[in-house]
Amino acid sequence: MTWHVLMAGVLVLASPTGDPDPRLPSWLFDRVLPFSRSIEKTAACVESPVRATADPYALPMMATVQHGGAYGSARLTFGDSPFGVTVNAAGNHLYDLRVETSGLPKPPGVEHIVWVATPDLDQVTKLGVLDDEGRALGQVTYNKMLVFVTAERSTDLDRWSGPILLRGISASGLMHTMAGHGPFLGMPC
Amino acid sequence: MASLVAVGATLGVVAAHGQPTVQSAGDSSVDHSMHHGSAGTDPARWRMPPMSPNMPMPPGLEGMIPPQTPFLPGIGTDPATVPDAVFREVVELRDGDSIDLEAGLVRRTINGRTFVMYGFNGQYPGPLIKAPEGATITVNFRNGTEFPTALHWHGVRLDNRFDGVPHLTQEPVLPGGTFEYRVFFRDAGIYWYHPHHREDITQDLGLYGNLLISSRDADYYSPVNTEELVMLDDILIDDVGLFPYGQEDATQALMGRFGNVLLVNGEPQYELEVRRGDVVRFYLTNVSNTRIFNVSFGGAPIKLVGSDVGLFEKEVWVESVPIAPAERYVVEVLFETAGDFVLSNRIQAIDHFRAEFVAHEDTLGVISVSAEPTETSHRDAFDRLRLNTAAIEEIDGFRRHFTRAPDHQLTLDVEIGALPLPLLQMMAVDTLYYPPVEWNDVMPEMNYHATGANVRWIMRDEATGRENMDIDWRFRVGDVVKIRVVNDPSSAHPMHHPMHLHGQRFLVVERDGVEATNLVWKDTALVPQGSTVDLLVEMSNPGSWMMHCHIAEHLETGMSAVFEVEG
Repeated sequence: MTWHVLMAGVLVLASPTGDPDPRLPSWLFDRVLPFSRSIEKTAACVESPVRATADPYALPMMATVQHGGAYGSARLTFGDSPFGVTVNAAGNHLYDLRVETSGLPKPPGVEHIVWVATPDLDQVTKLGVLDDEGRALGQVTYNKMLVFVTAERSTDLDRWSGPILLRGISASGLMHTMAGHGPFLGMPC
Repeated sequence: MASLVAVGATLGVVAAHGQPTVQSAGDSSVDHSMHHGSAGTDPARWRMPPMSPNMPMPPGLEGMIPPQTPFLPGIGTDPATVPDAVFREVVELRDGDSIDLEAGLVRRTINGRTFVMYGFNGQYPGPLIKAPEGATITVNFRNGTEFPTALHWHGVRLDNRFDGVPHLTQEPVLPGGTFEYRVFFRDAGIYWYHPHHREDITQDLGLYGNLLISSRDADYYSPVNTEELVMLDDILIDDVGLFPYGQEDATQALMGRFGNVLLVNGEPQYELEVRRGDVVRFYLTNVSNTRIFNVSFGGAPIKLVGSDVGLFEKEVWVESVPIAPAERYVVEVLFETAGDFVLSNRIQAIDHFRAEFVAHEDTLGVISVSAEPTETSHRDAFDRLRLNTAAIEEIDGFRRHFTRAPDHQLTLDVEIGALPLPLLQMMAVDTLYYPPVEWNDVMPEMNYHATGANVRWIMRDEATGRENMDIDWRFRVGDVVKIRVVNDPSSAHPMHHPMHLHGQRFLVVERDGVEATNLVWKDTALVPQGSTVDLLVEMSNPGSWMMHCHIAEHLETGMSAVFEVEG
């Protein structure tokens, strides 16, 4: 199992409440979420679970660990375009992605980097470094995307190596195969 | 899951009518054609619409048909007696000239198969009418179709009496009847004409044509080697023939009627031959009922020049041209090297069943570039991105209005009634995600059950709560009105809407709180689902005017209103 697959597991399985998911081995949290030992559970984590949202452009972000006051949100807006919808030649939507966070721990020498990735992590883009106000802005073209913030010792990275502090998923990422559901119960996927 | 609650509540209210019919087993008039094989040869009978073989039929929908009578034109007429349609002619008119225009049955051949459709003057598309800015022409119209109708001159700021909206600006032209239109071309640009009654049928079957209005300014456009008018369309055909339409109401009322054969100027394969180094100006018009195209030219550089009612403030390079129903864009394209350049529609389709995005490309045609060099090179002009100072200066007079509060807010919504239960279940699952625009219809077997009997699309005036034709907006000539259009993402079936205002022009000044940076006068603006768009309308033309969604099935199922402009 590769490191990236493990990270995907954390992104998917970490509980909205910030509690380590019992399906994950404790050593994984020791490696990936070093801040978890000293972080208190907060109401903000409980009240912002990912759910089917009426706003297709909002990406609520949740703390992956129990952390006092950590909160994040991201929003997609269409990139500047003379047309009614912003796409490239392949038909991918071109979005501006704005990330706003608050309450993240920032020990000396640590930078918070925002990453955007496809759900299976075959493509990863560094959106940018959170500024002093905890914000970042960048452009994305993924149809489905994960957005997450990591704590890093360096900003000169192509892939993250530090712990994931906040994570969210686009509304498109919530689409789920209809096989086995409702009228398609029993049909093969 | 607010949507699910809304659907359920609505179901209880209206379940008494509009319930789709269940076809008895063994009746060959229902067939999931191109999916479970075909049966029957009478095209004017309901069967399941063509759909992707990868998409399973939801149990419970098999055998169900819409509650409408299936309709196709010319039923009972021997196709051999219907004249073969010919490719459009170009008619150049001057101020005071007139043209006869008759809508009637034609015989069309598409991909080797023959169908009875409609055409203006026996042509596809209708005649291309060229006229100078400031001209008034007379159109002697005769209705040779089965439907009452009227001709709408889309985007043209003409006398309200000739705008062509039945029961609003004129009485409908009955079958066999006539009407004389006087069409004044106030603005240079690319426009089009089409019926404004049951255009889900009559426009879809070929009743559309372009109007190319030249500017008084000889330097209005950059020099090019040739100009091409491209009308983008699609049509729904299965093994049996043309797929029927609902006679009493539009079918496919949720997504609009997507075709499965894409057409350029009425042909399934567009062809153009140019020389190496030629620059071609394309006037693109989307005349489809609902499909948004994303057009590119095989990697050839594209310069965006103009749109509905004039030129952009500044020319820009673009990768492709996303164009919604009824919109027009003017682009210039340089074909620098010899070879074939594919005119493509490239999209990210959604497979809802598998919850996947699927890269999809339709070949609309081919531009063949010969090795022979261009006779006159316009490369220098093409490389230069112009600032259109006349457009900028005109728009300058409106900039003070850009940031002020909206005068009105329209919310776009939908009510859904007695759809089949499996369809409602599917829609509930579907509420997990709706894309900004629906590029494709991957669930046509669901969509065709949605009709005017069980779907009502809504424009709601937030200040009064009034909806659609109950909206009562009154303005005066000279008013500059800011209309905020909110496409409610929490509705039962969010979808994009190309919003069209008759008789006026407007600027799209803001999208989702972000100010637009390159403006052009428009008459149709795409509002993606969940988006908010601010339109700044110059009320310049007195009369009673329509505003509506230009997805034909949305218009036919309620999504229209009237506003008054007093002179």
